[in-house]
Amino acid sequence: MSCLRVEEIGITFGGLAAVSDVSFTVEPGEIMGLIGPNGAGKTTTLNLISGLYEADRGRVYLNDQDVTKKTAYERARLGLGRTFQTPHMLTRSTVSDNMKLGTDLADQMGFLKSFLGFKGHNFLDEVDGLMEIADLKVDWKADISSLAYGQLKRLEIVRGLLAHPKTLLIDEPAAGLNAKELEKSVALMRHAAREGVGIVLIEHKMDMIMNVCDHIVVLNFGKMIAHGTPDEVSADEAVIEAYLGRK
Amino acid sequence: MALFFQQTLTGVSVGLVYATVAMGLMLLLRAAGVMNFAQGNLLAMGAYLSFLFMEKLQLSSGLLMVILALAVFVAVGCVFCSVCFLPFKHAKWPQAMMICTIGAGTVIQECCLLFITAETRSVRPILAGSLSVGGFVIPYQYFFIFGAMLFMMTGLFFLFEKMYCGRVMSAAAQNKYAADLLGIPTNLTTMVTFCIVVCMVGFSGWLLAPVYRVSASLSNFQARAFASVVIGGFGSLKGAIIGGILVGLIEAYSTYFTTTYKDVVVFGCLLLVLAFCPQGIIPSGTKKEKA
Amino acid sequence: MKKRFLAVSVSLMLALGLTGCGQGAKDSGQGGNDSTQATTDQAQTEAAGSQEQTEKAELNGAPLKIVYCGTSLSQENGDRAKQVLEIAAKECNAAGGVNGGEVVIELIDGGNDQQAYIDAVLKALEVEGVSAVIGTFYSQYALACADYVNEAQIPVFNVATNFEMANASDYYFTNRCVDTAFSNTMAQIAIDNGVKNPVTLFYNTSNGYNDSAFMKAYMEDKGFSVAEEIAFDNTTTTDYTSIVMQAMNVADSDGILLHATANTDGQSIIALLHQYGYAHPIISNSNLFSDSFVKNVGVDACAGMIGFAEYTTTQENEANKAFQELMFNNSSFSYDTVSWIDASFYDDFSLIVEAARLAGGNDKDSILDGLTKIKGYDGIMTSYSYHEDHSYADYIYLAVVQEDGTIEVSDAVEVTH
Repeated sequence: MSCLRVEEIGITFGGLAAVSDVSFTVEPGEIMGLIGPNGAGKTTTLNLISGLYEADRGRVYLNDQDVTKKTAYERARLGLGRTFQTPHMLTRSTVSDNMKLGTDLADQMGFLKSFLGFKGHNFLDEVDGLMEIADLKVDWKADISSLAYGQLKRLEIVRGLLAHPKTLLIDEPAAGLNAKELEKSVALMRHAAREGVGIVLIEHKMDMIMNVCDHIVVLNFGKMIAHGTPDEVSADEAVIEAYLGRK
Repeated sequence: MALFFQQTLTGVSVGLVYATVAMGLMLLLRAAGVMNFAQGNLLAMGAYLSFLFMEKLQLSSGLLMVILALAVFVAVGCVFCSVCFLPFKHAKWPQAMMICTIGAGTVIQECCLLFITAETRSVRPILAGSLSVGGFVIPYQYFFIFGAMLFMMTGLFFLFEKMYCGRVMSAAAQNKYAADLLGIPTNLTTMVTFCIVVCMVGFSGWLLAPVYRVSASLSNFQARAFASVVIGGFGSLKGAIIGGILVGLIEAYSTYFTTTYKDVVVFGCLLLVLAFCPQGIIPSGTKKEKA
Repeated sequence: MKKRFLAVSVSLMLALGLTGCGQGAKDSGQGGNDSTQATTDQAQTEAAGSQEQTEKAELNGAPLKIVYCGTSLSQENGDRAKQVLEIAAKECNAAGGVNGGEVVIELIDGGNDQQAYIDAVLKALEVEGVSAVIGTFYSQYALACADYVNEAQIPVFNVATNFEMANASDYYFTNRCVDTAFSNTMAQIAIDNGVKNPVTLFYNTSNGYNDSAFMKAYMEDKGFSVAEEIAFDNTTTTDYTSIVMQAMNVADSDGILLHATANTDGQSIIALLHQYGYAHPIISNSNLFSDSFVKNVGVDACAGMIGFAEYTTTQENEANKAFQELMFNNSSFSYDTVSWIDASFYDDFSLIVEAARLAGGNDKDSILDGLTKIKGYDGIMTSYSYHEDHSYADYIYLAVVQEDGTIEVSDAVEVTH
C-alpha cells in the first residue's frame, strides 16, 4: 500500500495551468524530491496534495484512500503532515503550546475529544528522541517568538513527526539554515523515513536532494518533465536544459 | 464618603459588564479575526429574550428558560458565523467582515423590536430587593451579576490561556491554512467560538435586564467595551477585564463634575491613552520579533 | 463563481432582512398588508378612499388631506398613529366627511433620527393637496424643519411642546400645553407639597433645559429656590445609578422635579430612587403618568409620585369611554391598551377637522384660518382653544400614583399661558 499516490492532478488559475497531469507515488519509508525552477508548480502541487487547493482534475490517494474531495483537515486526520517554507507557529504562545497542536492526531482521536483536551499520550515522552536528532534544546515554557529561525524550521518538522503522519510534505527545509542546521534537518528526515513515513521534499539545494532522495520528480511550467532516481534525473537532457544547467 | 463607596460599587458593577462584553470582543478577534460591531446588539438580544420568556410568554420553569435561551443563542451564533464570517474568509478586502457585523447588529436589533417589543420594558430580577450596608444599598441582582460575570471571565480566561481548546481556537484564527493542516476543522472551530461568545454576551444581557431595562439602548455598551479594550490593552484578555472595570469607574466618578458629558470623559481618557500609552495598561503578550 | 454567487446571495438575504425589519410591528396584525412604504400605504388609503367615494357619492368635494410623518412607522408610536388616524378618518367619512369632501390620511416614515425626519417633512410638504401635517415628538427636530414649513405655509401639528416652536414658525401648532406652562404647574405642585429647594433632573435637550429654567424661575419668583439642575443624556446613558446618586445627595434638597420620558430614563430613575430609599417628593412630567409605566416599573416604586397628566387616563368620563370603545371595537386597532399618544393623535385629527369646518374649506389656508377660531372644543385629552403661543390645551390634570398603582387625576386645572 502506497502512502501517497497522485494521478494526473492539475489546476488552472485564470486560464493558466499552474499544474498539469502530474502523477507519482510515494511508498512508506521513501523520500521523493520535487524540484524545478521557481514558478514550476512545486508548492502548488503540495497545496493540491494537502487539500489547500481543490484540484480541477486528477486524483489524490492517501494510504490508497481517495481523498481528492476531502478537506485539508480531513486529510491531516488521515495521516498527512506538512511543513512550510516559513514556519507557521502560534504567536503569543509557548513552545510547548505550539508543539501540542496537532499532536492529538497521533492518537487518532475524534476532533471533539481532542478539542476538549483529552489526550491519549503525552508528546513529551517521545519528543526527547526527536529533539536529540534535531540537535535542538529549547525551554518549553519560553515564548515561541524567542526561538531563532533555524530552530523554528527544525521544530516544525519535529511537530509534524509527533503527529505520527504516514506522509509528510516538507517545503524547502534548507532555506535560511546553515550547514550544521541543515545536516540536522536531514537527520530528522532520514529518521522519519526509517520509521516508515513517506516524505515529499521540495528543495533547491541539489546536493541535498541528490543525497537524500530515493527518487525525484522534476516540474517545469506545471508539467512533469522527468521522474527517476537522482542519477537518472541529473543526466536527463530536459532537466539540464530547464533547471540544472550544464556543468 | 458613602456616596464615594456607592459610586465605586456602581462603577465596578457596570465595569464588569463592560469587561465581559470586551472579553467577548477579544475572544472573537483572537479566535475568528473579526472585530464584532454587533456585540452590543447581542447583549440587548439577551435582555429581550429574558422579557420574552419571563413576561410575554410567562414561562414558569427556570430550567426551560435557560435551555431555550441556550438553544436560541447557539442558533444565533451559528447563523451569525455563517453570514458574517464564513463568506468573507477569503475576501480581498479584510474590512468586509467588519462591515457585515455592523449590518448584522442592525438586523438583530430590528428583529428584537419587531418580534418581541418596541417599547422599553422591565423584567423581574432573580431576587427582588436590596441589601443595605452602612450608608449604601446593593440590589440583590448585582450579586448575581457579579457572580456570573466573574464566572464567565474566569472560564474564558482558562479556556483561552490554559486549555487546549483555547489554543485550537487561536490557531484557527491566526492561520487557517496551518490549522487545517494540523487537523483542526477551522470552520467548525470558529463557529463554536461564535456560539460561546453569543451565549456569554446573551446571558450577560439577560442578567442586566432587570437593572438596565429591556431596551435597544443596551447596545450602547458596545462603545464602552471598545474603549475598555483599548485602555486595558488591545489583544490582552487581562487587559480587557481591567480596562472594563476602569471605564466603569471613570464613568461613575465623572458624575462628580458632569452628568451630561460622561461619554466625553470616557472617550477623552481613551484618546489620552492612545496618545501616551497606545499599547494600553497591560500590553498584549507578543514580544518584539527578532530581526 | 460559486463564491460570487454566495456573496450575492448573502447580500440579498441581508438586504431582504433589513427591508423586512422596516415593516410594521408584528403586533399590528395587519397580516399581508404590512408595509411602511408611503406609496403602498397611499395606495391602500386611496383604495379605501375610493371605496368610500363609491359608497358615498356626495363626498365629491375637495378632500381634507392629512399627512403623518412624525416617527418611524415600524416603531410603536408610528404604528399607533397609523391605526388611530385611519380609524378617525373612516369614522369621519362615514359621518359625511368634511365640507363635502372626504378625509384622506397619508403616512410617511419619519425615521429614527433628525435627518430622516427632515426628509420625511420635506416629502410631506410636497404631497399634492396636503391640508395639514402631524409631526414629531421632538422639538429639536421640529425646529430644524421650521424654515421648510414657513416656506410651504402648511399647518403642522407637533406632539412636541417646546415654546420656541411658535417663535420659529407661524405654522407650528401643538394640541398640548407648552413647556412654560407645565413647568410652572410642576413647580407649583412642588410648592403645594412643601418642597422648597428641589433638584431639577431632566434630559439634556433644549426642551429639558427650558423646563428646568422655567421651573427654577418660577420657584425663585415664589421666594423659593432650586438646589441644583442636573441634566442627563437619555440617548446614550444606560446606567442611571450615578446620576440618581448625585441627585439624591445634593445638600439641603428636599425633592426632585423630574423631566424624563417613559423609556429607559424615566423607568430607571424612578426604580433607582425607590431602590435607594429616596424619601422626598418626586414631581414628574406627564410622560410618567400612564398605566403601562406603572406596570413596567412596579407599583412600589411609583406609589406617591405626583405631577400632572394631560390625559385623564383612569378617569371614567364619557370622552374616555367613547374613545376606548371606538378603538377596541375597531378590528384595525391591534393594541391591548389605549394610551395618551392615541388620544393625542386623535385630538390632532379632530382639531384639523374642526378648523376645516369652522373655515368652510379643506385647503391649507382655510385650515390655518379655522385653527385660530377654535374655542372650547371638547377633545379626548382635554378641551381646546387657540392660544397666542399656538398651543391648544385648556386644562391639564394633577396626578398622584396611589398605593395600589392606580393613577388618581384631579379635576381639570386651567393652563396658564
